[in-house]
Amino acid sequence: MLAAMTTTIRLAADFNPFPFGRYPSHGDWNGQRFRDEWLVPALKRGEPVEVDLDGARGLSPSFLEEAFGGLVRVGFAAKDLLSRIHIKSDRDPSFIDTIQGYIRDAGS
Amino acid sequence: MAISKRKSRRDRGRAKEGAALRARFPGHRYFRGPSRLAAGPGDLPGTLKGLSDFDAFARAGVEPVLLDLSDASHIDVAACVLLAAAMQRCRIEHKLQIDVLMPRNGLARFALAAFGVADDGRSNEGDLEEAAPQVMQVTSGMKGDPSPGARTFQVAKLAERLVADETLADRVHAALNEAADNVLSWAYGAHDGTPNPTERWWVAGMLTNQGATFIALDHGAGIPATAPQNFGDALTGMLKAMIKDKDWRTINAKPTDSQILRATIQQRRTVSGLEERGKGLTNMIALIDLFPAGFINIFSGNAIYTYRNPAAKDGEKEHCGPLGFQFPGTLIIWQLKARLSEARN
Repeated sequence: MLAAMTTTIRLAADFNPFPFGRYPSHGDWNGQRFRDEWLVPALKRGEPVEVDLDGARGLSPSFLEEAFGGLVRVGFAAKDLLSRIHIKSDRDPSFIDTIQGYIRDAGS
Repeated sequence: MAISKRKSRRDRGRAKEGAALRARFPGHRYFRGPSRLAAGPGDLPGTLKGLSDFDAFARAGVEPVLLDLSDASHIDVAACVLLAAAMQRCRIEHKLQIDVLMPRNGLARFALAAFGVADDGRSNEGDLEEAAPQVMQVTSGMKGDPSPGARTFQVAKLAERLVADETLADRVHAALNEAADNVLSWAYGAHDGTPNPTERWWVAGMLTNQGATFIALDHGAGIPATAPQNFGDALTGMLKAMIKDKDWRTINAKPTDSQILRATIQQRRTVSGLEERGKGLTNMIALIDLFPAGFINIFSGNAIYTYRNPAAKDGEKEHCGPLGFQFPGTLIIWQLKARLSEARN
C-alpha cells in the first residue's frame, strides 16, 4: 500500500494511450515530454510517484528509456529514483524490471 | 505460315491494347513493371532493380507515368510496401502522377489493392489505412507527425487476430514503434528536426495462414552507415573483440556492412551501460522468441541479418552476412507464426 501523499500518474489517461518516440520531433507524446512535464514535476514535490502503465499501448524501449532513464540525465540520482518511483503494470509486469534497468543503466 | 499468322494476330492484339491504354491514360509514359515482386533474399535484388528502373524512368520526365503490372504473377507483402514507397517518393519528390495497371493475377491484384494501390494510382494514406483492414494494414510517417503510435497501433492490431493475447500484440506494437523511432532518430541523419516528407518510415502488416508478416521500411542511410557514429567507442570495442573470428578482417581494414551490423547487434545484447542508446534493436529481434515459430530478416546497406526462433526446425538460428548488393535503407521483416490452437479464426 502506497502512502497517502503518493502522486499517481496514469500514462494512458493523463498523458496518452499511444506514447511514441524519444524526442519532441518524434511526435507529441514522446518520452522526453512525459519525463519533463509529468515525472519531473511530480518528483520535485518530493513525494513517491506511482506510474500506472496499464492501458498504454506499444510502449517501446526508446520511449521508456528517455522517460525514466532520462531522469538520471536531468539530475536525479538513480538510487533515489528506484526507491521513489513505483511502476504499476498488471498487464505486462516485465515493464517493471525493464524500467528499473533503464534507470540503473543510466546511473552507471 | 501458321507462325506468321499467329504473330500477326498477336501484334494486332497488342496494338489494340496499346491504343486502348493510350485512350484510357492519355499523355502517360508507359513502364512495364516486373512480373515478380518479392522481398525474400533471393528475390530482393530483382525487385529492387525493377523498382530502381521504374524510379529512374519516372524521374526522367514530367508527364504522368503508367506502371503496367498486368503481368505480375506474384507480389508479397514486403514488395507491396517497397512499391508503395517508391510510388510515394515519385509523387512527393517529383510531383509525378503515377497510375497503375493492376495485375491480372487475382492474388497479386488483391495484395496491391489492399495496400491502397489502385488503377487510378491514388494511394493516399486514408485509402491505405482503410483497405482490407482485417488482413492488411500499412501506414507511413515522418518527423512532426503528432501521434505515430496511434497509427502503428492500427497495424499491430493485426497481431490480436493471430493470437488471443493482447500482451503479445502489444509487443508487436512496441517493435513497430521502435523501428519507426529508430528511423526518426538515425536513418536520415541528424538535423534540426524540420519535417521532410521524403524522410519517411513505413510500417505494414499482413495476416497469412496461421501467421502474420510485419514490415518496417525506410530509405535512409542504413544501420551499417549510422551505427559507428552513433555507438562510437562501444561499437569499436566490439569490432576489435570480434577480430579474432576466423572470418574477420585485419584490424586496420575497414569493416564491411555485415560485420558492422553483426557487431551492432552483439554489442547491444552484451554491453550494458550504453547510456540512452541501444535498447531497441534487441527488443525487435527478441520479439521472435515470444512466438512459437518465426524469423526476422533485417536488410540494411550491404548486409542481411536473420534470426529464427530457436524452437523452430533445426538449422542455423542466426546469420549475418553480405547481402551482395546495397539495400537503399533498412527493411525489417518479421514473420510470426501462432500455434494452431492459439490462432484465431
